[in-house]
Amino acid sequence: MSRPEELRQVTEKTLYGLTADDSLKCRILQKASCSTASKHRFFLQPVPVLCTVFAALLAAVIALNTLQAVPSAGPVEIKSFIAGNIIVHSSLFPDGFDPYSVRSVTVEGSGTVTDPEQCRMLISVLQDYAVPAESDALSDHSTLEITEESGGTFTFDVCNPYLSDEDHQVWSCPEFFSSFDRIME
Amino acid sequence: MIFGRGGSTVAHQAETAYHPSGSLSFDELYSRYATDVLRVAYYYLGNREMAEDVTQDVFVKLLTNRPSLEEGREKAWLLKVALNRCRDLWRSSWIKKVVLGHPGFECFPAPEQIGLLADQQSLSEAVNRLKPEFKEVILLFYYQGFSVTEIAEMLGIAEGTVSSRLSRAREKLQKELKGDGDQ
Repeated sequence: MSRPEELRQVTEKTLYGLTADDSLKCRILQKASCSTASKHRFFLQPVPVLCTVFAALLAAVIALNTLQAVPSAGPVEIKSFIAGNIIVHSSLFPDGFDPYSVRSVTVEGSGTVTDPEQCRMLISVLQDYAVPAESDALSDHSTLEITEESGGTFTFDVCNPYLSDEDHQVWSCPEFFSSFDRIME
Repeated sequence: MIFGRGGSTVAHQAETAYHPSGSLSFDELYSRYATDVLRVAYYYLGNREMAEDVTQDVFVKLLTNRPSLEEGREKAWLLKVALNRCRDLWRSSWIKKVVLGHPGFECFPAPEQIGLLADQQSLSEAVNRLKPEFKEVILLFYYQGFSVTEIAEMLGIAEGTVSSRLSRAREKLQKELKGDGDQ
């Protein structure tokens, strides 16, 4: 009778034909290059974007300071500011989701994403890019369903580019919808 | 799947440019450890396609997240990520239906070994039938040769827990194998 101590030798014999070959390596490299490419596409190369955003905000602040004599139409609200190398929004999309525990993302009428890598990316886009928005109840809305591995499902009303939760808090996230559409293409 | 010329070039660049642990390239890590990752995932899940998917996820994560791995700890990182992924899959209802409903652990012996492996095959099958928490420690300790301390660190549990799981897993294996022998 074989003993657990022999598991290494036994496995070399019983699983002799189960090896990580070149075709699996090709799959990995292909998938990694796609992931890297899509990261670049979706995150729009952060350094130049951040430089541009910073320059625009700086210009806006200077303009506001120098044109104080001109009466403004209403209060100016800056939705985001720069901290280090990330953009911090004044109110983030619910970050209770663990991107690694999402099983599927469904936009009613558009389709369902079940690939774990793509689900992760979509949730990250929501968490990184959704900004609070003011909008009345979304008209002609469909639904976004995020299903976790545990089976729990979170439903949002959506009407591109807006999302609304059950408490009627609304976010705007055109990046999410364009990312979703690209996956569906 | 068809691989385009452009994709291959990008992939090759990633492969050659990235040295995850400072001294070992992706290529070297793959040739040293990918089969171990694949076999551990196969023991865990009992399904070849899913084991390949787990191996793919682990190495894609290595290439895309680019962790800086301590020298000599590369295999521990790869197996830790693989076991986390296996656990996720195991928990999902899909695998419970498809794999638990159809226990399909299959051996892949060399052609000259076919028919000579009943005994060894029983051990592999018995390991595959263990509960995940027992399977993990048996695979890491006996198959991959990690110490109790290393396993405790990899799984995020106390050393005492690893030891007791090992002891219970050994008992279960003995019972299983004796049961097989009696039949």
